[in-house]
Amino acid sequence: MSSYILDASIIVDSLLQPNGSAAKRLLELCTKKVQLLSLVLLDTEVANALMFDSANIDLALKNFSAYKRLNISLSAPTEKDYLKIIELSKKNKTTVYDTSYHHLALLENGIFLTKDKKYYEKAKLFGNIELV
Amino acid sequence: MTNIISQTYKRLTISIPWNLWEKIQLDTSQPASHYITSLIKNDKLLDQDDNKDPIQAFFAQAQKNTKKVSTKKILETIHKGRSRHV
Repeated sequence: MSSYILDASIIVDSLLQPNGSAAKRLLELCTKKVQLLSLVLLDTEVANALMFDSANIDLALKNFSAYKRLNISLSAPTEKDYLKIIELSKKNKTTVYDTSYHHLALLENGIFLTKDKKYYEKAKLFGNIELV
Repeated sequence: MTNIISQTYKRLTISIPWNLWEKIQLDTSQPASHYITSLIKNDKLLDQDDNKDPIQAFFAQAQKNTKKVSTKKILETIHKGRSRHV
């Protein structure tokens, strides 16, 4: 079964731009038999972005609840994972946050989906990444 | 937020704010179903898409976000969040 790793940009963009490319790609994946994976960090990043960018608090709460109902398996990196993530981040001049999502994709042989073009351009050489 | 299923509305999952949940727990003289009935009558349910499939509910909720937010702004917020000290 194919695995797709989602970062916060995919989730928040899908919610706040419901007719955008992220929403279309996510809907496509949700209708296929694929595994949606991410890190526990995703909850915090999505909650924060929705708190700031939703039109009001009521929508922020409903948006977050809708996100949590999606079947995304969240995991936490181990110490060994972090050692590799730090190494990759330093080498590539990217943040540990972005790299940790990407590292999960490399580990699971999945595809990391992101809306972050700057990160994509820097990290595409590692493979297993798709700019949505 | 918490989800409860009332005895009265067995098929209805209702999301209610924590402050109301606290009120229900503290005020034992009033059964939870009384509050839930009041909510339904007052049309104050927070998540009316709860009975939908999670994927349908997610995209139905997305359609309710009519305020335009650009990808650039979303990425800025995510990046700011990583460096923000509150």
